[in-house]
Amino acid sequence: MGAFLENYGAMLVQGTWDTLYMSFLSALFAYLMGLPLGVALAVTEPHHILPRPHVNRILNTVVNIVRSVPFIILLIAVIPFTRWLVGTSIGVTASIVPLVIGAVPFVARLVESSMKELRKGIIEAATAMGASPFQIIYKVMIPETMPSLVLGASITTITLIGYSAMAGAVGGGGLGDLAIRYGYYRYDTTLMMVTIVLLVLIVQGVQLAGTRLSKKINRQ
Amino acid sequence: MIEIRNLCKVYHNPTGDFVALDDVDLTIAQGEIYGVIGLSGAGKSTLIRCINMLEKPSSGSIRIDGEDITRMRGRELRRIRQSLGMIFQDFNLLMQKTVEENVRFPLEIAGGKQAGADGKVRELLRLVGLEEKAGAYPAQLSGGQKQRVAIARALANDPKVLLCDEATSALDPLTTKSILELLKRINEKIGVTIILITHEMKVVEAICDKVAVIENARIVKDGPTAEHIGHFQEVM
Repeated sequence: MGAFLENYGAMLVQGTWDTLYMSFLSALFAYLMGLPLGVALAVTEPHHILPRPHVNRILNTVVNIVRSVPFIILLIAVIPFTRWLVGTSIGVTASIVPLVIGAVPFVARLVESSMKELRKGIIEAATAMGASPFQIIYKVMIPETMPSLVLGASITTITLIGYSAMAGAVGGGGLGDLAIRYGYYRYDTTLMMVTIVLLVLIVQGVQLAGTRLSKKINRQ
Repeated sequence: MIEIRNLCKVYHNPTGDFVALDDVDLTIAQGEIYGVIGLSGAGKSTLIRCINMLEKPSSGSIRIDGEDITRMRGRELRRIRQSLGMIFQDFNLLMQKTVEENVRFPLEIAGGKQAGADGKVRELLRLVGLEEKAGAYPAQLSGGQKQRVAIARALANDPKVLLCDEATSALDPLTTKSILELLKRINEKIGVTIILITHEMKVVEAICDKVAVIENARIVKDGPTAEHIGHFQEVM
């Protein structure tokens, strides 16, 4: 045990940090784009506050196309773009680019479904008060769906932890990278098990935090 | 103050056209409590929702103090909507906001840091008898209390008109009575014109000065409540 930690301890700490860094930072960027996109998907539908059938159809198509591409393919396909954006396609920071691209449409769908949970009557009441579409979005739709959005954010982060392990396979770093390099290629089962346990703990922690926070802020 | 002329609303469905309002004429005077009564599907809900343009009429006009709301769009429509309060059958309160925040909400929508908003909110909560519930969330309230919050919220911008869309239909008879008494008291105290739609004759009898009966998308009878009680008993 002591020898194991001496050999691998620093690497595991670094791997854990890299995984958390990749997952949380890409979740944050994914929400910066995915939240407006998800809201746009909801409000441009017929009978909603900004009905735009054509825009809605285009957004839906784009979201579906990106979601159809298997993440491992997306990871490789965006390498030229990643190089152009961050100067390299290897390393933890570079892997955030494909993670964000993969997560944006996922976040958009989660946000869209949270928005659709909101009772139509509440939006109608705000319309009747003379609220503008923009006011309805940021004063009604987003605050009223916050508990559901928080749950969605924990789902997104957990999905990104899984994706980040795949990013590790192409030089992304993190726990997934360790599991593949040491556990899979070098048959180091102990190290592989330890990385999996660490991933399980991180996932449990994120889910627990998300569920608790969602409950705590929900007044309904 | 409200003049509805030749109002028609036709829904174009894949299965064919549905006429919800057929050439409706109605005149409602300042300060009146005007009831519109009819069976489900008669068109009464469409009618009240046209008055603040939640439904866009197919043709006809609705003049509110001379201004035709059916011609308004965008900013102009939002401005006039601020002078038309509305309450609903299922209350439609903001569930993640406190009672106090719900009542303040229309003031925020209307814009700016309104001086005296706190005082206004307190005054409205006193009016509906919910001062001690200011910090509570809607989920902690009974149906009657929720409707009182909705009434306070609808009055926040000092509207000229209060539209009541089946406002008591989800409430028990006793609570209905107390909500109707509150509406009556508000009407007497601040002179707001009240238009309410209902399928219950008791509601009309309790507070309406005038009433219109709507049947198959048309107004078949209208006038002072007292003169029409007999007729309702026939048609309802």
